[in-house]
Amino acid sequence: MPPNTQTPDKNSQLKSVDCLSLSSINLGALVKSVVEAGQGIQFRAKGNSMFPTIKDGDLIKVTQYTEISPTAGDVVAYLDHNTKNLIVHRIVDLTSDIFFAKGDSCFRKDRPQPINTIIGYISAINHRENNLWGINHRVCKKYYTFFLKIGIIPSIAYILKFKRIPILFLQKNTPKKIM
Amino acid sequence: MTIELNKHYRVSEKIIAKEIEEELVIVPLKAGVGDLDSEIYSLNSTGISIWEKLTGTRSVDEIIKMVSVEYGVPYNEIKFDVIQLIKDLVDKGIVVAT
Repeated sequence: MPPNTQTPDKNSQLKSVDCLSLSSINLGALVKSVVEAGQGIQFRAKGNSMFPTIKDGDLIKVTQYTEISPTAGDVVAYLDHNTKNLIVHRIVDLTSDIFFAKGDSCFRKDRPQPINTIIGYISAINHRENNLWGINHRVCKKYYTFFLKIGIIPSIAYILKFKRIPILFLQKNTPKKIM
Repeated sequence: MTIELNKHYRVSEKIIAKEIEEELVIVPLKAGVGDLDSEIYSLNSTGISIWEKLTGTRSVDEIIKMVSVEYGVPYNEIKFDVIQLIKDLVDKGIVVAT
């Protein structure tokens, strides 16, 4: 038998992985595989697009949809079908095929995504399943989603985050051009 | 914990493993929940080769022989590394004896 050209890597020992070092794409693939196996998964959120519902560093738990289906108001984890990045945002509109999501502190909706890109919903934040910001309460979610769509929630989030009024609401008198 | 050459080991049901960028990422489950905030692990290609043989039907000695043939490395040279990896996996609860 001819000698094998492969050489074993001596460092095959088990290595610890820092979850924060995983790229968004790899984290998304990992989260998807765990949830699709019927298990929940929790990890630290990165970024503040869901402020104040979810803040940077909050521990969020993703659970698979089983008995219920995605509805407007649900905070979901999905893989962007173009970039494959993992995104955790709130559904503001959906049909049978596609959905629109939006970060609670964002003024713009995300690009429309196919429904099958949803991995699961956020069922707990920092080990708490009942959340002031309506992640699980169906009545709260309905009103919360409405105020999110019309920009009230992002404005409040902006004020809370930056302690000032969003520039959108500060109308400046622009000088008219002299013809 | 000592690893005996004639014992059989298999992957525990309490983990989920996923190949990402040619490494195997292993997520232990606690009460049915994978916690990426606590320890998760990875194996490189050699580790994956050993991992795939941990089916519970092969003894440690057989696995060492298979790896030795696969890589063309003498049995005694590869023996310690294979045993050390299996020991680490057992210590973390990722692999269990059958």
